[in-house]
Amino acid sequence: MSHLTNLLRKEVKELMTGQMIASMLLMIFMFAILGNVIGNVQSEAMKQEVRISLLDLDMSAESKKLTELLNSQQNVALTTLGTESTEDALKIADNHSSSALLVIPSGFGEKIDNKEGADVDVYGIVRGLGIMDTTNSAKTQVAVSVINELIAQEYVREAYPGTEPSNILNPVRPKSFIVLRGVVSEGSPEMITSLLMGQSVLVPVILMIAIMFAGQMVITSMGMEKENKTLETLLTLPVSRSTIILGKIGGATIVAFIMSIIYLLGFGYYMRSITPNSSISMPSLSMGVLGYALLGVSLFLAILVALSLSMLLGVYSQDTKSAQTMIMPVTLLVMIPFFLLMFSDYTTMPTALRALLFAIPFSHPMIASRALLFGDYAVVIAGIVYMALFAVILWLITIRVFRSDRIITAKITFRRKR
Amino acid sequence: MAEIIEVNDLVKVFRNGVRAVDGVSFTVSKGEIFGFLGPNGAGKSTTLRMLSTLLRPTSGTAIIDGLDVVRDAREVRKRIGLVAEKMILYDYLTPYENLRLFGKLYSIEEKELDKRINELLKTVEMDKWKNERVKNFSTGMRQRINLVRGLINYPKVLFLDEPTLGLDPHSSVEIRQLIAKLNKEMNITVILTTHYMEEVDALADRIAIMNNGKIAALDTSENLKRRISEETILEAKVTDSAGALKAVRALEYVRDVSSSDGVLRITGQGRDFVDAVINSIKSTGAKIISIKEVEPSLEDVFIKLTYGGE
Repeated sequence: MSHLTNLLRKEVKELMTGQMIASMLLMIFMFAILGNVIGNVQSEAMKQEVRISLLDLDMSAESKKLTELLNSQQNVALTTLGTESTEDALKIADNHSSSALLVIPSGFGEKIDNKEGADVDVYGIVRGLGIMDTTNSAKTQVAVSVINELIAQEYVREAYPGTEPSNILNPVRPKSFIVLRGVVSEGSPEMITSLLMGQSVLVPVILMIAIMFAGQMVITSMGMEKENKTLETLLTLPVSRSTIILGKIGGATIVAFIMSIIYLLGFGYYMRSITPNSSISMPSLSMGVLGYALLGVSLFLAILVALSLSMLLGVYSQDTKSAQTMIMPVTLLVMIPFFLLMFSDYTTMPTALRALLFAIPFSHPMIASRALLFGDYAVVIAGIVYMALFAVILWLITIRVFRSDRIITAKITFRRKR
Repeated sequence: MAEIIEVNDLVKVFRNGVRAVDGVSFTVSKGEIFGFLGPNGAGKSTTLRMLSTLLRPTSGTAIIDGLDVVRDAREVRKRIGLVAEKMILYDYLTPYENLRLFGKLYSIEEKELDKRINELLKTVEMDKWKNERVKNFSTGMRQRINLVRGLINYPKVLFLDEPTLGLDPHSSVEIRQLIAKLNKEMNITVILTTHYMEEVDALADRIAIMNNGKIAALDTSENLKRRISEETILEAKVTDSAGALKAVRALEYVRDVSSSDGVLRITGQGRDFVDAVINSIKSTGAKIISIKEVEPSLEDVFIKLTYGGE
């Protein structure tokens, strides 16, 4: 046990270099900066007034009423233009930095009076494609739709005095409920989709980062040990080969775990910063302690499988350079389930595709993150058992390789054909 | 002297069919410095790796301190130390921490370990820097620490694989002196593999010259040199070495000729060898500035045994 502790300490010290700590700090810093910048831009954009120019070619009582309604809206800075041509009005609106020009054509009032429906031309002036610009465009659309609502309410009031206009305009008001695992909650299926999207992106991204970082660390460390012949020296010490492997995998797991936590915290902060009002309370969709524990076990086993696989591949490297190319198979095995599960659900996939996903050990934490929300424990437990078996088999192969000559002699060379 | 290493008909055939070591047998006495010489691919490193329990022999036996390297690998590992050509030190640790890490892996008790570290660092005159990070050291200083790293378990046999590779001449001399000192003071048996002839010539009690997986010769340096004493080696300083080299090479008495800085080194034998060489050089129009007969070096023996087809 003391050997393992010493080897673990050595591995962690070796992996936690100044560069590694700096890159971790940089990651937190980047998430914080990005979250703050994007969040601030969004909230500033929401707070700022939208500038709208208006050209009234009708000058009727109705068009003046529309102008008043627009002026009375919050966050709208309205400029009424005196010109008579739309071209000139567009130039002036552009000079005024307006986001849109509304043109009320002549005959507007008459059409409104006759309840024929009147056109208002909305010219959106695009200056950029940033958050500020898209928010302004959305605010203009909201302003125009609010006017529509107000005019419609006025029609209703004239036609049915004493009646609440919204009862006529929206006689049916659907109230959405979701039934999940027998529990009824208030909300719409879109809310679940948005919640699931968050889960289904967050878990695979964390997994991908953890596996790629940890796999890269193990494989590079193996390549370095082979290049510097430190492995040969370690193997001449009276320490069992399985302890040496355990030390390597354990060290990388500890560092990967720290990195995953840091990444999770950073990513969570970033998500909260850019979506301040999107928190959804859905008690029936919470995982519970058992769910989180199973997800944790699933994530841990996936990382363990990745590390064992990387170590086994690392044995066949000759140096650091060749080791880095050997991480490719692991990366591919993470990418396949990531992209497949991003666009479809495991339960609704064709059987062949489901079998393929099940066979790839890294699919299971991604499948588990969704399945646990729906209380489908069977697929999660099956995945955990499969990954545990996979890890044990890899472990046995690695120990066998470490005990044989291949640990010294094995190599795969990528030679170009001449 | 009692024998600490006994190797009998050792063979190593790799999976690709290469017979790297082909029936090697030798013994090494306690406290001896045993040198391995040979060109690349001769089987030196494979032999060393089998003796240090890294590779399993295909057939044959190797016994170290009465223990079989395959059957009793773990016990053998407690009795050996390996200093490979690359330095096995962790830059982010101090010399003390590096030695402590390896000592712990040998399960050396805390108090004893502390005593050994201090003693070993003093021996290589690195005790002043024991708490400085290794990354700040010169290559020579690092190799001194690397050397005692291989001694932390007080091994009975120390394997040194190219211990001075990449060191400057001053550091190389220092390390050689250190090896001799450790061998003498600690009575450690040293198995030395190197490409440097002068290193093995200066340090080794006996030398095994390996070629094509076999031991081509095994003896003391003096005896090996005597093996080619029937040959005469001449060193001639001439005015046109290129032309003279061509002419001398064509002589039937000459086995080997090389040229460096206008000096021809000619090896050959026969009653008329010296006359023939002188006449041949003169016939090219070149002038002989000086000519002398020299003693054969280990390099001459090495070339004859590995490239000369004996």
